[in-house]
Amino acid sequence: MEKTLKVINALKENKVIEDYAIGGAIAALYYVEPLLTYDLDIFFITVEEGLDVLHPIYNHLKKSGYKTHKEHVLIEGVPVQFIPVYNELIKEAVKTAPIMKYGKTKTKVIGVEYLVAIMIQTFRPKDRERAIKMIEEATIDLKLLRKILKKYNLYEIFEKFRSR
Amino acid sequence: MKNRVNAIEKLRRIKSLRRKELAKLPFETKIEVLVKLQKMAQGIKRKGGEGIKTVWQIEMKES
Repeated sequence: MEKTLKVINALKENKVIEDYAIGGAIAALYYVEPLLTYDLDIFFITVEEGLDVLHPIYNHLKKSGYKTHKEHVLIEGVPVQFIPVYNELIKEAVKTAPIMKYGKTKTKVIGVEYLVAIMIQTFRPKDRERAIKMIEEATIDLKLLRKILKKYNLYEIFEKFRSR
Repeated sequence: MKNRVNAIEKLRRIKSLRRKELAKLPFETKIEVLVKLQKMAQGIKRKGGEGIKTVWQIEMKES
C-alpha cells in the first residue's frame, strides 16, 4: 500500500489536488481492529472548482498507466475511490487530518473524532455499525467530538444514537 | 443461571479487551490482516455483487 500512497502523494505534489486524507473503512481500520473492506477511500480538496473534478485525477493517473474500474482506479494493486469533499464537515476533516507514516511514506488519515462525526452525518447502517466500534475500541477525545457534532448540528442525533 | 450470566459477561469482557488490543496493532500489520481477510472472504458467495471485491495485490513487507 506504500506504493499506492506514493502515487496519491504525487497528485498533491503535482497540484492535481490541493489536499487529501484517507477516509472510510481504511481510516476506521487505522483506529479499530482490522475489518473487511475492498477499497481505499480518498477524500480530496480540489485545486479548482468545476463540474468534473475527477477528470484531472483520472487523466493524470491514466497517463501513468493506471486503469479505472467503475468508480475506482487501480493503483499499485489497490482499488482507490477518489471522493471530492462534498460538505464543510468533510472539508474540515481533511484539512485537520493528522499526518502519519505508512512505512516510510507520509499520509493523512481523517481524525477519529471527525470520522465518527462523518459516520453520524452519513448514518447508513454500516456507518452506525462502525460508529459503535469506534466508540468502543478507539481512544476518542469526547470534548472535541462534542464540539464537532455541535458545530455541524449532529449532537442530538449522536445522543439519541448513543442512548439506544 | 447466575453462573451462566457471569460466564457470558466474562466472555464479553475478554472479547472487548481482545478487540482493544487488536485496535493497537500498527497500521501496516492491520493492512496485512485485511489482505488475509479479503483472501478468506473470496470463497464466500455474495448476493448482489455491487462494487469491487478483489484481493489487494500489494507487497506484504514493504519498506
